[in-house]
Parts: sequence; C-alpha cells; structure tokens
Amino acid sequence: MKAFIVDDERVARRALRECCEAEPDLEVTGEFARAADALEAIRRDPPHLIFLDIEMATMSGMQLARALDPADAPLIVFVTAHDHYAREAFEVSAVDYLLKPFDETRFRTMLGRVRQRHGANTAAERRAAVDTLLEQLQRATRKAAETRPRILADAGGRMQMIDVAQVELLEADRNYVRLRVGKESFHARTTLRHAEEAMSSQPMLRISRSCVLNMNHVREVNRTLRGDFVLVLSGGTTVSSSQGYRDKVRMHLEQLMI
Amino acid sequence: MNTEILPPAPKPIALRTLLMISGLFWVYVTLSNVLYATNMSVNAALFHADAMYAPWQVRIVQHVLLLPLLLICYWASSRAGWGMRRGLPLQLLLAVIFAVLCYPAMNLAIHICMWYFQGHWDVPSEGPEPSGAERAAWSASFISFFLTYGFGVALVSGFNWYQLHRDSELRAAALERVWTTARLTALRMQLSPHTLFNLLHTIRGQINPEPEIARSMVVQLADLLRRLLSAGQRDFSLISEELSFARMYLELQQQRFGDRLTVSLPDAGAQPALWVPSLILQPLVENAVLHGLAGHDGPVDIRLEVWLSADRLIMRIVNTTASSAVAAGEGIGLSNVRERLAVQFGARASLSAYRAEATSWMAQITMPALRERAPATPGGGAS
Repeated sequence: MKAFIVDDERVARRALRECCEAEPDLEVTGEFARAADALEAIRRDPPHLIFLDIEMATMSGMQLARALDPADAPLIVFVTAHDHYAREAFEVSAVDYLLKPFDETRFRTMLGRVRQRHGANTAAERRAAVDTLLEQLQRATRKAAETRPRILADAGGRMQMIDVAQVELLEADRNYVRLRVGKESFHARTTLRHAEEAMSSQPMLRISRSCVLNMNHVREVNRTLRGDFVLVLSGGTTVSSSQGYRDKVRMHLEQLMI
Repeated sequence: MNTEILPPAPKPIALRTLLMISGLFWVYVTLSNVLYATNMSVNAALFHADAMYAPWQVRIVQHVLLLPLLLICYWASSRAGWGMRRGLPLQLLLAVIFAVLCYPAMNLAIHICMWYFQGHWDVPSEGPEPSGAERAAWSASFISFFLTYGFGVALVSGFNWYQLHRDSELRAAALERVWTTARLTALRMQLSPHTLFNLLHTIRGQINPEPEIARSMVVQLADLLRRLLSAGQRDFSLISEELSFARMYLELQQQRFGDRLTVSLPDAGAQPALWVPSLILQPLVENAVLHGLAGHDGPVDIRLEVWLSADRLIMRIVNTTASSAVAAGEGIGLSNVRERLAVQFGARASLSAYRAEATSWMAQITMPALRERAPATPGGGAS
C-alpha cells in the first residue's frame, strides 16, 4: 500500500513514518505539511491510503477529505488529538481514526481494519469491511450519547437521570429547577444557572427570567397581539416569552429562519 | 456574575392576591360583627346586666384559662398547613373547636371567681334566666371568639410564611455556594499533581531502557487525562465509565509498582446502566494506592467491588495496609467524597471508611441506584 502523511507538525509526521516503516506492506510515498499541496498530489497520483491530521493551520483535514471525490478517493485515516471528531470523521467516509498520542499496538489495530478494507475484493469481504465501519460509527454515536450530560431529578421521591437532549424546558421554582420532559415534569435540586450549564450541548433559549427552553423541542411559534411569543413544545406545553426577553427571542428566531 | 441568570428573587405579594385576601377577611369581619350585634340587640333585654359586664378579675381569669386552649389550637394550626383537601377543613375544625370551648371556659372562670371572691363581689343572682338567653350568650361568644381566633391565625401564619420564605432564600444561597465549592474541589481532587508528576517521572525513566513501554505509558496517561477532562465537565457518569477510569489509573500505578501491586476490578462492560457522580471513586482509589503502599514493603492487594442491594448501589474498595499504620484523621479526599454525596443525595447516600481487619482498610459508598428515565414514547424526543 502506498501511503501519504499529511500533518503540519514535523515530529508528528516522523512518529507516523516510524510506525509505517515497521510494516512491510506499507510504503510512505509522500509527506505533506500543507493540505493544499497534499490535495494536488493526491489528484495527480492517488495513493492507497492517507494519514490525515484534522487540525491544521490553513486547510483542515476534514476540508481536504470533503474536497476529494468520494467515488475513487483513497482510504482515509484521520489522526487527531481530539476524540470528539469521531462521528464527523466516519461521516466523511474515513476508514479509521487514530487518536494522538498512539503507540505501536493501536497503530497495528487500526492498520488491521484498513487492510481488511483494502484487500476486500470479494463481495463478502467488502460486506465485512463495511460492517466493521458501521460498527465503529455506531460505537462513536453511542459514546456521544453516553457522554452527553445527565441531570439528576426527582419524580415523586424517586431519583432518576434525565438525558439533557430530552429536556424541553427548565423553569426556576424556588429552591428547585423544574424540568419538563414530554408530558412529565421533574424537580432537580439545583440552580437554574447550573442546570443551564449542564444543558450546554443543546440549543437553549431564555424566554423569561425564570424560564429556558430547548429549541430542539419547539414545534410551533405564535405571536400575541402585544408582540410576545407563544411557543408550543413537542410535549404539548405552551410557554410565552416575557416582555423583557421579547426582542432577544425575536432576534434568535430570525437567525434561525435565515 | 450576570444577575439575570440567577434564580429569580421572590416578588412582593401581587395586588390581585392582596385585594382578594383583604376583601375576604373584611367580609368575614363584617358578617361576624353583624351577627354579633344582631344577637346582642335581640337578646340584650334577656340578660342580667351583671352577667354581661363581669368585672376585670373575671375577665383576666377567663382569658388565662383560654390561653392554653388557644396555644394548642395555634400549634395544631401551624402544622396542619393550608392544603385544599386536608389543611383547610382542619383549620376550620380547629377554629370551631376553639370557639365552642370558649363558652364553657368562660362559665368555669365565673364559677371559680364566685368561689374565690365570695363576699367581695356582688355575685349575679342565680335566679331563673329567661329561656333563650343561654343560647344567645353562647352564639355571641362563639362568633366573637371565632373572629378573634381567625385574626390570630392570620398573624401566626403570616409570620410563619415570612420565616419560611427568609429561610428558603438563605438555603438557596447556601446551596449555590456548596455546589460551586464542591464542584471546584471535585475538579481539583480528581488526580493529585503528586501522582501525575510521579507518573511522568516513571515514563522518563523508561524512555531509554524500554522505549516501547514508555510510549505505551504516554498513551495510557493521555487516555486517563482525556477521560479526566471529559468527566470533569459532567456531574454524572455511567458506573462502567467510572470503573474503566479506575482500571486505567490502577494499571498505570502497576507500571510503577508492578512487583508489589495487584488489583482486581469488576468487568466494566458487564455493569448495569447505573449513574454515579463523575469520578466519585477516584479519591478512594487514589487513597487505596497511597495508603496501601505506605509504611511497609510487602505486597498490596486492591480490590474494587460493585453491587446492587435493595435498589441501592454499593461500591466498596478494600486495600492491604501496613498493620502498624495509624489511621490518621479523615483526608481531604474522603471529606470531598462525603461532601459531594451530601450535596447530591442528602441522607440517601453515605461513605464509610474504616480498618476492616488488622491489615486491610475498607471504604464503601452507598447511594441510590440512579437509572435513566425510561422514555414514554420511543423516538418522541429530539426532532
């Protein structure tokens, strides 16, 4: 297999080259510090495999991968220090994903999957390679859902964990925060500020001093004659913006419409 | 700090509520007054003037006699609450009981006084009272005391509410403070700098003789730090995550003390989907390594166990210690765990740590089994 290494850091390229040199079937035919140079070289003489850094100064590895024709693009392995690119990487049809720093063991495990994909000539082999890829994507998706914060809440004396993606509305209620989830309502022993922090992965919008809602759950937006917004959530709850937040809500909704 | 994102300050009583409460109260006063006056005017002729206007000594005795009754009723009233189904009828019942018992108490006072002040006081004649006078006096007394009782209840509950409100403000402020500090110390305590630098030194020592081991240790340390950062941003993690973090940490420590340290952990993959406060085990695991190795040079066994018992999650860590080791005061790690459990679960969670045997130490967390809310309709969530 002919391989390219694209990374703007010299020492990182060397670490990868050393790992490649230990493999008899791998030959590094090009090393690039700039994604644009790599793109040109790939179009001129495509290798079988590219090791692609995601965070690079001028053009990101993700952009480079998107610029390639998916029909006959080489196999792409993203190399990155951040694990939150995993899902995105598999979505731009990368075959694998290598977290920095890595050691020989991880490099070889990754290479095993690449070889399986590269050597897939029969239909059954190709099917197995796609299954491996799908399984990796599923694992990345599951992991993203698992690492999403949960809020500890009380439902009639029983403590439960609530996934922030399911929370439609947060309301301050004395010492508690009330969470609206579908048709149910829970109490969390926390402050509105803290609960809002925990919800940071969701698109939240404050519509009054004591009320914050998750825009993913807004089903309908109406306006009253006075100009206040009335929002209907997916669980059927209706909330209205207070006068002080009317303009902020309007600006936010206008942004969404563009 | 943006004041807008703080919980809202309670507003003063709304004008509509104020009008309603005072209106109702005034109707109550007016009606009682009218009824009282009507009774009095209709039946005034039937009374002996003496019976109506008892002297001051009798009035004082009457009120002293009524005081315990009043206190009992107010005490019950302050605990009955104002719920629509139970509280309100109970309050009404208490008021009626008080008003009804007032009349016999007043009569009792008159009789006591008659016995005590014999000769000094012109006792009202025991002559035959006109029929209906007794009933009129009773209803006048009932209405008058019912009114007075209501006034007192309003005062007592008003003050009670004021206090509750003030307390809840204080509690909210305290809660906010505890949250912030507990979170900060939690972040700080997850991995001691001491441990981190010792690990870096071990890696440094491995670079020349065993570069491959050094490289894999760097990768392990990176994994550990990655998880540490992601768990530090969340309040809760799955128990399986928590166990794999403990495993990573212990495996790195084994690289340092391979010949002395043996560890046994439950299989992270086989754990039920239960949630625990992020990195709640870490201070205990770190303590087990630190105190396990200290004071002797024999082998150290660290055993972590997790199980469910009656819907409570129990996490136990047992480690070998030197038999001579004196249990020092509770370390910052243990008190941090204790504080985090208290903030999140109150009395429903606990941490106990003690010397289990001559050469072993045990720390155990007991907390509610936290499961994820079962979605009512699958796919009915985010759009």
